[in-house]
Amino acid sequence: MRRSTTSSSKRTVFETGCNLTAQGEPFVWSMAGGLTIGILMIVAFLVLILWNGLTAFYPGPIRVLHLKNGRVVAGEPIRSELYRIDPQRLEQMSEAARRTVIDRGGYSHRWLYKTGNFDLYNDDYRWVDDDDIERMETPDNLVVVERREWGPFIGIIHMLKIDGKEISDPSEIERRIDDDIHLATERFEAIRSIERDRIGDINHRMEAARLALRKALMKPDIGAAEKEAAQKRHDRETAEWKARYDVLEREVDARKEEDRRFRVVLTDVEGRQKEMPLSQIVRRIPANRLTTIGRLGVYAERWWELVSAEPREANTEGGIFPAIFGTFVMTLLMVVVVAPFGVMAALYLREYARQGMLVSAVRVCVNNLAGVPSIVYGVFGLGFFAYTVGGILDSMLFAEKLPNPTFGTGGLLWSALTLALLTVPVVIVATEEALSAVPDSLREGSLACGASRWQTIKYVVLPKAMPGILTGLILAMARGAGEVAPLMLVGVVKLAPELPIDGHFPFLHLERSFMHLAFHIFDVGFQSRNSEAGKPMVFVTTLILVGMIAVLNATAILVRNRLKRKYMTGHF
Amino acid sequence: MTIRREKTVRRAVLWADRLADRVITVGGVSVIVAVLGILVFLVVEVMPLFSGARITGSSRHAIADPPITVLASGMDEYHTLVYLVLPEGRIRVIHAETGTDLESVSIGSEGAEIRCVAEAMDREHLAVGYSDGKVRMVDLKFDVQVIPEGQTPVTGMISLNARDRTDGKSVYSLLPNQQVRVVRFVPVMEEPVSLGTSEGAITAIAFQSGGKAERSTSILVTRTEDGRMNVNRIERRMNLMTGQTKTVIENTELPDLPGPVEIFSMCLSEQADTLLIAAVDGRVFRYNLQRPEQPMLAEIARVLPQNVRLSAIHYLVGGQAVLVGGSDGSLRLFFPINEETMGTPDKRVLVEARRFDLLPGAVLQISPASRGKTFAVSTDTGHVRVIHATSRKTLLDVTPGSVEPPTATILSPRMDAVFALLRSGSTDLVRFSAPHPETDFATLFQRVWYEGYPQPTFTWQSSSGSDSFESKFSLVPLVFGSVKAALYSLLFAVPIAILAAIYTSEFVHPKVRGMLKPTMEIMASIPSVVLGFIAALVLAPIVEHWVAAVILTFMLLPVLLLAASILWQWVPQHVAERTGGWVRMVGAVGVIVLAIFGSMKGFAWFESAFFGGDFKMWLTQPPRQAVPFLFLLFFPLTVVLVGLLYNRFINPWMIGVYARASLQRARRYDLLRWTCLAVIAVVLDLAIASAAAALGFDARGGIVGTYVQRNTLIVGFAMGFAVIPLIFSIAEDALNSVPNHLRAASLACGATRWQTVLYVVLPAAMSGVFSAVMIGLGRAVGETMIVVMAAGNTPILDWNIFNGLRSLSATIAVELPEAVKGGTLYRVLFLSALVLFAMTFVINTVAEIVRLRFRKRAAQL
Repeated sequence: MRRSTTSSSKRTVFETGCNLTAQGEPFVWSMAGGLTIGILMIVAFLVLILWNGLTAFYPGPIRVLHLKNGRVVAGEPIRSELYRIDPQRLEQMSEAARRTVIDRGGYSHRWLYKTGNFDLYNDDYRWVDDDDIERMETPDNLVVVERREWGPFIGIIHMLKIDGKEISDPSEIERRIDDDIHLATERFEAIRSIERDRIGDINHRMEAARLALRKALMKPDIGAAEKEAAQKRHDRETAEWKARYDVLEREVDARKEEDRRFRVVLTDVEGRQKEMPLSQIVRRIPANRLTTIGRLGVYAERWWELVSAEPREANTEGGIFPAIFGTFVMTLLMVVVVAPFGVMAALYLREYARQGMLVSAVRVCVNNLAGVPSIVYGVFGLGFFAYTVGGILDSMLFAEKLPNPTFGTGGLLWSALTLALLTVPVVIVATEEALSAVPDSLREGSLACGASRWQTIKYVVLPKAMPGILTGLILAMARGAGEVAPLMLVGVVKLAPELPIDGHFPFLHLERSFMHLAFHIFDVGFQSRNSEAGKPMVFVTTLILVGMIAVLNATAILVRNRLKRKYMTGHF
Repeated sequence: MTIRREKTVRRAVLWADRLADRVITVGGVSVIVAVLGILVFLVVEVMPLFSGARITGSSRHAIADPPITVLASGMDEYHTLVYLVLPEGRIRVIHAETGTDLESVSIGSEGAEIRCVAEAMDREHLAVGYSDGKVRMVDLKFDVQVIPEGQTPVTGMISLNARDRTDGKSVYSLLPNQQVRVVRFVPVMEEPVSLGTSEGAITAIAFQSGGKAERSTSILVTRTEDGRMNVNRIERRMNLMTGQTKTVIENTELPDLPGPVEIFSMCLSEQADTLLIAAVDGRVFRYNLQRPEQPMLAEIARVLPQNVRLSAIHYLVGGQAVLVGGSDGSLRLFFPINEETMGTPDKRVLVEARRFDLLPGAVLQISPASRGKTFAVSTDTGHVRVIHATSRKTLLDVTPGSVEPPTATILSPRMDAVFALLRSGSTDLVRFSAPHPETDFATLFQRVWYEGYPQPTFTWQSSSGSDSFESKFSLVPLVFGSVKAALYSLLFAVPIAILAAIYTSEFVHPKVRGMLKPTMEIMASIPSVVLGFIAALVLAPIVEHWVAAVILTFMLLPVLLLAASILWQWVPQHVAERTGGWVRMVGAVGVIVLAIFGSMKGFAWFESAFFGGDFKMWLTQPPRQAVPFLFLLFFPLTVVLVGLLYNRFINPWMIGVYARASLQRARRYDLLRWTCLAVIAVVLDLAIASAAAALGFDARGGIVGTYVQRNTLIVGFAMGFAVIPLIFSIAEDALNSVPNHLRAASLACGATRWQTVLYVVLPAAMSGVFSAVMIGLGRAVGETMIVVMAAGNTPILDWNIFNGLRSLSATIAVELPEAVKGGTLYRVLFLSALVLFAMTFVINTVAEIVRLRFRKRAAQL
């Protein structure tokens, strides 16, 4: 059609005014605008996530601001904005300052500084208006000290108190502090390892003994002798474990006592002091002295902590390993459940059931269920799985633990089942589509060769449809990994004390509640003491989650494209 | 010649085939059943909300020596004992189930007889007025203990029934797990005190008590023989060191009643701030005691029609609502509301909020529960009904064995049993279970007039710490919230998604399309929690700061796009044709950047020109400057109107003009045409806006109003983000499945691409596009996390785009983890889930049916 413009006689016909209106350019442009807005939104979204997620851990310089009112503020600049000064503040400003602000249309510019030192200031972020600053400097001796409690400290290391010996010479401190922090961290880890692993193990066994006793006593026809025997066994075991516990506790006390002798004194820029044990320090960053490589080192260290460590400070700092692990285990469990059932249902609908009104109605229903809000599945999961099925399981198998529920409350298994139910329509639809894309000629060929129906499905239909089925499963995983609303009802918690897999029998604890990346985002972003303090954590968590889902989706798309190509060549 | 071969199938193959057959059939069917079972389960969980009470047991006996009048009565939590306060000066305790007499306690005063008694709202305190002007406070306590079976005394026990035994004072009830519950009535009597107001007999009394054990306050209202009424405030302070109590009495005289009044009864509200004196003729005198030193007669209200005698009046727990029963069997509920126009001195007025079903006889006794809004009511025909005050649901209806008036009617404290004693001495104890008395269809879906509210409303307020709280379970605000969020987000998403889909399918190169679609699909799988977080923590503060700039951007975008398209027409057409789709997109990027830049620069001017300087301030100050916003609001409508008029009347003529013109001239014509149309639209719009403003129309209070940070606009953005890829993807599929030969035919006939889209492709794909929108709607209605995080969760009914909302899904997510299993809130939330399920199911089914029809049609084309 476009070629028609080449002939000169036609060109005159083509270029009349009528043709101009027929092009409908304004309308076409509005469509182009719609598409562009959509694309730009996506790009802006991705850039926002990537930028914030990737820069969240990069240590910036620390600025010391001398304000006009005589105060000194030290902090890491986070972001700046233009803002409207509210009229009351404008009233209080000096004449000259007010004039400049009014000249700017009532707007002013300010930076948000992360000042840390929550224990001293009761706040760890602060807006500073550019107009309030007298002068600004970036002194070399300032450090950011990440602590296990109270968030970071920004200031100067004033003194070390090692075994009663006070070291306040800066160069001496500088020389030995990293080693001291390293040793202190080792002590801290040792104490924690005893408390968590060994004492935790003893507690676990004592609890098991207590439950064994209760279970024995709850038998309806228990005799006095049996009762006494059970009681004795319990007492003996408890005493044994108690003895070991006492030994460990003494050891812990001794180590803590030792740890307390290694202390550090910090001062902030205004001279306020803070003394604490060295083991409270996670890492020390001489922010203004770091080279780019040094910064990248800190950056990498923080990322490693993120993916490997446990959260601290109400989840706003530390790592998210339990959340990653929980998401992973739950999604895996979900796929294990959803794959066979979804495929089975699709096989039934496509290969076994007689195609008629009923099956089409069921198909419409299944399609619909893919659109039912996820929270409805959550409600069902809570009411049916946790309370009804879990309640029955508890009364049958775990009566000795009642009234504390075992399965009768949210947990890993119920979450996985709920999400399996949520994603089963997706799998059914995808599998059905894949099955229907397998040409009938293949089935007929196989049946004509004498293969049974199952053999046909197993050796001909399923292999052909496998990429499609896999696509569906991966999409289901992507959906399941990002879904949080139903999980809030059936087993996700903000802080799980134990991982769902550990060294105690039966190793995989299906009844335990777990942490989840998507819920972590919600929790840190909305339920923590200061949403600003949680933002870096939320952004990196988001980055990890979105990355995970993007990888899953991209895999699905690749698989699908491969499938398409396969059919283009493999058609009879 | 044929070769015959034995054809046998290996056993294993047959087995495998049969096994697979069974497993797949059973598995497949069970998965489908399980998925559909969700619906069934939700319905089963919800059903109890709508049912009344279930009777769990009843017993009918007779007591010896039945009293003629009972002044007050009560029952313990386990409905074991019943006490009856009798006028001859004793409290008679009987076994509730069998009517057997147990002990009897004297509350008489020397040389005086009982004239009247009053019960406090907690039903544990009683005030007795004597003929010598003294009053006495009695604590009506039950002592309940659970002991192992072995510790019960053996001697002197009388068996009452299969479960209960007594030693004459306590009742020992055998519990299932080898334990025994011992219940005993242990009244604590204080000495009669003289109030010091008058020596005459006390003829009427009202009473409430409060405070702690070591410092208790009792408020009494007494009326003495001489007709004078006093508020008596009795304060007892126990010295913790010495154990002595000090009693302080303060009396304040009440203003007299106007004229002679035959008093039926006096009721004091739970907070002792209102006194109601009911007259037999159906009038109620309301005294306001909020300022104890200055009581005033605030209102005289007629609560019953003429000729109907008032036969019962009682406060409900909470101290607001009062029940009034008449001799005609009518039962009404009144409470005071703030009302300035009626001219009462305290600016409050009693209103009749609810009327209950007519009872079969004159209402005689009302027994409210001390922990809820349920009450029992009995008539002179001996009927007993248990009703819930909020839902007006009749939970239980007990028909008497014989028609005679009751002397005592008691609802148990846990609202699970009702006891009636008839004049002849026959007793009736009915145990029932009514787990959800406060809900029925009306309270869930219709307006209800809650206590203290100025009018009937749809309200959602599910929880509170106190027993007297009236739960407000209207699902209407939640459904409204879901719909509001969905509609606003679709308003944003549908144009973008559909336009983008058309452009992608019709105007860009297939290779570009191959890239665009997967990008959009990845976008569709972004977890909503991420969108919600971005919306609430990043977008909301920015939009709050720059709301005027945001509005301006939305205004500028279409205008600039139009301008760009007119400029584009000056590009030689063969160049334009060849460069195709992506150049326009680059242009559109430029336009968007320009629009954002322009509004950043120009919003201050915009704000001062249109909104008097500050948009948010403008929002809260109607009716100042209504016209400018109406102008903006009506602009799209005016443009459509002008466009239609132009198309109808001028375009036919213009076509001729264009046809005769050269291309160069046509471009100028076009510029002129669009400018003229724009000017006409602006002028017309201004006229319409001014007219509307003159008629008193203002967008504030309607779709705009007070600005809160987390609002529907933010939700609209974020949810738009979530549904754009969905709608885009399905609509694009629909457009794509329009067969190419239709396009080819249209183009071959000389139509341009635009004409082909408008007249061929779109009509063919319309139903598919429609179903895309429906599916988007379904997703938006059920979206949870975005709404939880970005919508502020305020359950209000208004269309204000700058205000928050609370959707069904968000309510479930927020409240269900805290709800008690099996409780009313729990089931109401299940009902919310069911409603959500039903809404999305209907929407999706419509979409699916339309889509299937479209597919069939597309296949036929």
